[in-house]
Amino acid sequence: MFLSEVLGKPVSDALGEKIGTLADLVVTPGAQFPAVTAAVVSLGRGAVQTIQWSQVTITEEGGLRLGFAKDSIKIYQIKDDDLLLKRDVLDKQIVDVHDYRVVRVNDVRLEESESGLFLVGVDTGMRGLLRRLRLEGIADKIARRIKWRPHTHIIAWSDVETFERSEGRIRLRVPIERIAKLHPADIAKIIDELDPAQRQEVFESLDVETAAETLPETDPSVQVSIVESLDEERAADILEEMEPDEAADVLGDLPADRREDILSEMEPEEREDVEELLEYSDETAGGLMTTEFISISPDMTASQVIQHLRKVGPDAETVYYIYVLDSAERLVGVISLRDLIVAPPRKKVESFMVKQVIHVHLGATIQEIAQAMEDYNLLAIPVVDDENRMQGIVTFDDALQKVLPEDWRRRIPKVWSR
Amino acid sequence: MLLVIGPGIITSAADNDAGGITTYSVAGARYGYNMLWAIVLITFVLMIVQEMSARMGAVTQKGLGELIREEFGVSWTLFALIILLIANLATTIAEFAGIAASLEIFGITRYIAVPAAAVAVWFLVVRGNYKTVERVFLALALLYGTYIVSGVLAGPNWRDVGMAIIKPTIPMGRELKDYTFLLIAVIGTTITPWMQFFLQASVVDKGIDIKHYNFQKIDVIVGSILTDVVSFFIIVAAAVTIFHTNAKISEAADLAKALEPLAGSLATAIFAVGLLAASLLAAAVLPLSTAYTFTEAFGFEIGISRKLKEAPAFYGIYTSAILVGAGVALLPGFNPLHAMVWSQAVNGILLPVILFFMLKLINNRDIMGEYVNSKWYNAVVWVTFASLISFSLIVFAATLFPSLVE
Repeated sequence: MFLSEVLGKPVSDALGEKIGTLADLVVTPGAQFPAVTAAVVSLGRGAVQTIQWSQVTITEEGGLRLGFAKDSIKIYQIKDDDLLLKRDVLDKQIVDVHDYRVVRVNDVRLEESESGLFLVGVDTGMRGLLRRLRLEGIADKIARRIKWRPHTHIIAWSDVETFERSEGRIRLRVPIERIAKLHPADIAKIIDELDPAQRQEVFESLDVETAAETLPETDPSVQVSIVESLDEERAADILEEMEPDEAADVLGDLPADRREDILSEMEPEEREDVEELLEYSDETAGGLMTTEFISISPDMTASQVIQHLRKVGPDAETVYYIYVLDSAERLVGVISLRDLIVAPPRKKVESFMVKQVIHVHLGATIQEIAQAMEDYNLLAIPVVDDENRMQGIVTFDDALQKVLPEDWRRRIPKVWSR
Repeated sequence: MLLVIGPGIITSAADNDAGGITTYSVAGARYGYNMLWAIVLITFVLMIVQEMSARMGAVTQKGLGELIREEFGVSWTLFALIILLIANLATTIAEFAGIAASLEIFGITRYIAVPAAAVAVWFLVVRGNYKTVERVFLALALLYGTYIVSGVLAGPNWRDVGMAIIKPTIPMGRELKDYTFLLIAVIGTTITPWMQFFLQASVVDKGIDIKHYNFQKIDVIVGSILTDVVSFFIIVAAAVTIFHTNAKISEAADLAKALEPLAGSLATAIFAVGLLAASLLAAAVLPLSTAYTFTEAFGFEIGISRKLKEAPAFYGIYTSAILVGAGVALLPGFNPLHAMVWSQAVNGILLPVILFFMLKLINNRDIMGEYVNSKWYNAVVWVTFASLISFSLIVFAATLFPSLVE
């Protein structure tokens, strides 16, 4: 049974006298498939009464019938966290946690059982729309001729997150545990599709680490609007947690005064890294690189390097290449993780490192970087300044992101979207 | 400078499109200063209606189509969007009419100009960049600013202009129908249904919330005044150069006369270039805005990257809107000048429907909280609503029963 099939249907008392029409159904969320707990009945002239569901049966014609005469009706008090299916779900946007999408609800699926009426899911398909327009029958007739079937797309209620509206402010009705448990890339996908207010709500409920992993995955314009909406302290906490190059990308798109405010809240060490990166253009190696890479000196032994890796490895962006720098931070060699593992433990790095290191300069364009990485099959490429001092690395995924044609959806301004 | 220029000014800049320029010019050319009183009143209404759109966007952070869907359900949304679709199709036809008219001035037949423009416009969706669009809108607004100079240089009799505003004379009898029809077109081209959707969406998209709303309010008011100052002087310039010289207007090129006091012999060329640019841009933006409004309100194709194959509804609506617009402009006997004025009248006739939805939404405390409309705001919009409907009724009645106005 669908919500649209019972809304507006007559409600009569035990004696068969019509008392009004069904205006809404109340469920108390919590269970995987929550039960309907009350019916909101419109009595005409704007008056409504909320009746406990236990007194109601659904007749064969689809109407509702009360078990009592109308003067002994048990009134239900709507609680703050109750969900009214028409007011809060029908036609509203919900988050489909299963497919990481934001969709609009065309109809609500209810299932009757001996123990009551249960909310099982929402219909977001074409058929739901046609049903609402009372065009389902006609559409089916046409459909048979042109071999097209309007589809029903039901999302199980256990995969749905709803938003609550209270005077223009959006509040997530339930703690967004289910969203927070998703992969950051999937959270980002959802956030990209939300309205700014909903977006802010979801983002603020993430812990700092998840937020730091989610933010770089969102659309650049979304990143700016999110960071703009955060207070400086929290923004700084999240940015500290991010890779310096990603943090610099986000900060680079902010208005200058806002950027300074956030930077001043950051820990000095992270701030320096980010400030350095901010000076380079987005489109060059300097702008693309991260300053987090693993460096060692030429006189370390293989086993010392492995020990060093154990210490810094967990936080480094990539561990596949270990760069060898002399005392003046000049790039003199590189060893791969494989070279390191197969080397005898006491062997000095300088005796087995590759001395001809493929590198790019700070001003290298993305084409040059991509070309070099492709030619030499590199996962990351070191970036040096004019004195051959190592400044950072550009990783494969950062380069790939720049080379791939931008999804054109992102180039269409969202202003045309509503 | 772009920091100061917000959605309100951009939307107003976009307002002076092919239909707008033509309708104001025709108003001045046919009735002299007579319609200036309407422009003054319309400016106030425009400010109020645009402010409502911006406020709804700032408070709810949702587009108008979405709000209608969430508040009134699927059937009313379909109704509202079909109204918007008809109005937008009429305007799209006007844009292609503008393209045809402007290129005909340069001797290019519309049978080449219109299909070429349709193809160009279609591809704009792939290469579209909103920043560029905003800038072109603003550049065009500056170009149309030349009408202000031209209007002043034309040397109007300011006493007559003042009198026309304070003591309008509304023609009676046979002229009443044509006058009322043009009046509807003038209102419809100044306050359009699509602008309300466009402005509210821009406000939401720019992330302007109610805390920063005061700047937004100024932006809307300044935008409304600027656009209507231009409208005002288009009418003045056309009144002096065309109405007072008893010149005939039979095609769009004749309207270029209004720019002669400023541009002299270049007037026709400037007029044509301006008309062409405004038409091309709006011919792309309108179908796009229509397609997005539909797909979002109905939830089609949300959450997939919108490639051609995956977004049939979006591309279907976008492509059909362009095809209809361009197709009508290619019909034999199509008169670009008439089409441009007619399309604006269609917008004026349909505007009350959108105003009604806006009033219902903005006075709902569940949605707007303390930011519902004040009483006098409501009064102004209801009066506009009622006037537009009565004007339309006058035109319909006078068309069906000509004896009424004899």
